[in-house]
Amino acid sequence: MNKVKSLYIHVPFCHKICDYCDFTKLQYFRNFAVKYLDALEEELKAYQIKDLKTIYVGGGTPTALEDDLFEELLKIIDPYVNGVEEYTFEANPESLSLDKIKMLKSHGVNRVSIGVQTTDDKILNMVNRDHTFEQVKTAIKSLKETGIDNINVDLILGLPHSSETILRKDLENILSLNIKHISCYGLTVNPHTVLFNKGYKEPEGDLLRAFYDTVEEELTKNGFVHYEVSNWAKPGYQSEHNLTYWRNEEYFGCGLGASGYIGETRYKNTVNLSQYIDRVFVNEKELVSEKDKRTYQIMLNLRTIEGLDISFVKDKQEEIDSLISSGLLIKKDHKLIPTYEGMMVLDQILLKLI
Amino acid sequence: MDFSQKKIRNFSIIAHIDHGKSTLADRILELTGAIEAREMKDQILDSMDLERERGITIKLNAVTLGYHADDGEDYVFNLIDTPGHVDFTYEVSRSLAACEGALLVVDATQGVEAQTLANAYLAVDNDLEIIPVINKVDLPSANIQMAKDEIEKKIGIPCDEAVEVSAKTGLHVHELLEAIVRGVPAPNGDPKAPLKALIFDSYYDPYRGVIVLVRIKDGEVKVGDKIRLMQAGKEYQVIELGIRTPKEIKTDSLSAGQVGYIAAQIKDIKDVRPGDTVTLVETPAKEALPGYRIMNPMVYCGLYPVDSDDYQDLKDALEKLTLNDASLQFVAETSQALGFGFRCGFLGLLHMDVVQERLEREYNLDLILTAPSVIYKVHMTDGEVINLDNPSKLPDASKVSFIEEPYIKANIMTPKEYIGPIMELCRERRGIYENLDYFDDTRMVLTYELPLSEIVYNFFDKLKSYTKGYTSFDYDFSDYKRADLVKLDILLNGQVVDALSSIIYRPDGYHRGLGIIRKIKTVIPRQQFEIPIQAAIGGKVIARCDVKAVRKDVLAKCYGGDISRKKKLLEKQKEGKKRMKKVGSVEVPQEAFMSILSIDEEEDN
Repeated sequence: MNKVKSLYIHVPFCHKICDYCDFTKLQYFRNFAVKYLDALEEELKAYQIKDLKTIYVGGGTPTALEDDLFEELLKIIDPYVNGVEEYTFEANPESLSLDKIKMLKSHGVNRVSIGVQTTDDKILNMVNRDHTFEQVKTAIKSLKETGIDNINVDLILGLPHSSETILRKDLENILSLNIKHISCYGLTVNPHTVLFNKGYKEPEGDLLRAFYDTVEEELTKNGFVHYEVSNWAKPGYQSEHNLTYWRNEEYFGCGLGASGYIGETRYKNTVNLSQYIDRVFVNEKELVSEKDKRTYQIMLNLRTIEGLDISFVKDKQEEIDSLISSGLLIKKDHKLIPTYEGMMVLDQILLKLI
Repeated sequence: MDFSQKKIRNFSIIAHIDHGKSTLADRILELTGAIEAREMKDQILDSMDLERERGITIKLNAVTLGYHADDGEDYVFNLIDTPGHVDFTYEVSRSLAACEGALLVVDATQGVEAQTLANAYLAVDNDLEIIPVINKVDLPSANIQMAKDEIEKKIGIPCDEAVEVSAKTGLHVHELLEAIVRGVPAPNGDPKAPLKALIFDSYYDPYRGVIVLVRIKDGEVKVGDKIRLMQAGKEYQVIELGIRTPKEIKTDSLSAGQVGYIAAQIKDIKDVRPGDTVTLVETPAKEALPGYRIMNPMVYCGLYPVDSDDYQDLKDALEKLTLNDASLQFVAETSQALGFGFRCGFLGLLHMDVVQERLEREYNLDLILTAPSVIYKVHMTDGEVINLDNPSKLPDASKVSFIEEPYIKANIMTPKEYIGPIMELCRERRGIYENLDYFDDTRMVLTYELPLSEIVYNFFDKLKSYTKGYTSFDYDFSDYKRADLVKLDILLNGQVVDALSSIIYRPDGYHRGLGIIRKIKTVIPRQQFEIPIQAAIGGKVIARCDVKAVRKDVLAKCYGGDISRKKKLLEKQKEGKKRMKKVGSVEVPQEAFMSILSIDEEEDN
């Protein structure tokens, strides 16, 4: 079992719920958080976790925990950190204090991913984000001063009231921070989100595409490599943890609503906090057949420029030829690699190949 | 039960759609103890899911009920259901031929409608005793006197004996049952005469073969008898007889006046035609019963399996449906775009809809329907006349001398304030004005001759929306008339799609063409390349629009939990794609082939 090299840990608490969020998240209450960490510790121990290469702590908002509980969380994870090459924490700018940064550093965290979304303070306020761009700058400065310079910033494309002008300003602001990794996600408006309830419609595909084109143009010009549909990185700074998913490799998933993939099984934890605290962790299990595995391989591998080994789609020669001739895929040695155009219309490719 | 003829009452219920016929039937079933209220699904006679959902009765059905009347005697009621919609006149006449009486149900809040009239006349034609029933008298808006006056004036049936009921609450339904005992004549067939039994319906049972529903007019049939279907000329041995209450109850014999079923190990559904007469081989009747007038289909469309492997299943299913639907016709045809399928003829649009849904639901078939067409008479320059039921087969214009199309005579009954809009609609649809009459103080009857092709295309919906639903409509075939007609072709990605061709009135060409391509544009999903959609007449493109190439189609976030969800979604999309037809390199969903029907002219501006 020790070939599982990645671990995801979910921290579901937030001080404020963002309008667009459809992750597993809860309003932060100290006494829940205390019980939650106890349960999490037990869940981690139940797996035989060792020799990890990557750890990723996401949310919710991991930094929403008060300092003592934050330290507690780091201690719970400590036993698994030895030998880890990439150890990421997600953070919100407003709760990423210098004290927390120091704790991260001392526990071996070497990568931080910050939910910036946009640098336009008015829009941030409108979608119930609790920070300003000034706080982002301060947090990043502190991170760098503390010695954590592998920093990612998340942006959302197509937020309400956004525009090409605002996007260009966002990119200019973010580039000025001199960071290593940028993720840009087209806004999705899912049911059960505040945006959905407000009647906000997802931006049109053509508009999102125009936004992606701008991002692609600006970031590649500034030395970033577009290595996955929504991810750009300076050479050598691709997210190893996330590449685990896209390589269709196994990972442990712990915490409320977390998903994992071990052996032949993909599983999803309960999203019900009291169940979780009662130590009922896994809620759904999917046995991955050979055929499923192939489907996963295709849909995940083709998201990145590492591409898909052609042996998985041996029977689709005709489709492959047509995808190559229409400029969506390129063939390099025994790999099929999506072009930028191909990444943008990946589902069209997948429907032909799965 | 006592089956002596004088205790039997055979009757149908006739009514305009929504006037409460099925609810009344349920109430009668309940009061005669055929079913306990708690085991009733609402409206038990409408046994097809489809009927229940749409609130209409499509296939007739029969049930035998016992009734203990106030005179202390026990009676046997045979209630034979009729469909209410104009498309199904044929089936109504079938049911009526098996009865001596009919309940004419009129909604006290609506009064007499065009269909009530049409069905009442059918009953009169069949020499039935008619009992007027005023329904929905419990509603505050009920106007009982108005309904009675209308029945007396418009149909000419006295209403002294009319029964005022509420099928919903059950009010006075008991009185109605008594009125049936008194008012519907007992059958007067000769039980000693040679057997004559009228087949009014049939269905297929996997264990017993074809089950034949009959009304015994004369004579008697017993289990073990050898019978002959007079028209089909086939002979069988009776293995089971019975009545339906609605549960089947086996009997040893059925005799004059009774309604019941015969099982005789009939294997081939094609041998049993409603309207045929069953007699005994030993002592045959000299002549058959009059049978039914077979209605000819008025509307045709192509019916294709989405998956070409289902062709044989579709054929079997169509054969089974024609068993009790003589008006449904089909012949094999091929389409370049859709492959192997059938050209099917229907009595009207509802009939077409019902057949499609039954095929999809009861036989689990995925179907593509092409837009309905009428039969055109194409006069060739060499004098030959072709009956054309498939627009794509219209010969080259240079060989065609002229084309005639079928007209119908439509009676539209409407509150007078809507006369203006309706006349405007009929004018747009090339209607020929015939008459305008007062029906009563508030309603008028408009008579128009209209091309059937214009009715097929979005007419009912328009009529309904122009008049807020306060209109009833009834039509009959009138004759063929010459018209300036041309074939409109639709091209997808430069390629003519035969299944999308239609025959249209030339002056409407541009409008109709634009409407169709715009509608198709909304149903064809964006694909990797731009798809031009063109409308062309005689090889000349008259309108064009494009489905733009897809520019973004990807899940932005695909981490941990998103992965399984995304896979499921992709697999579902893949399934959905299988339901599309590939025309050249373009994937076309089913709806596109019907888009000729649903275009909205308002969008054309």
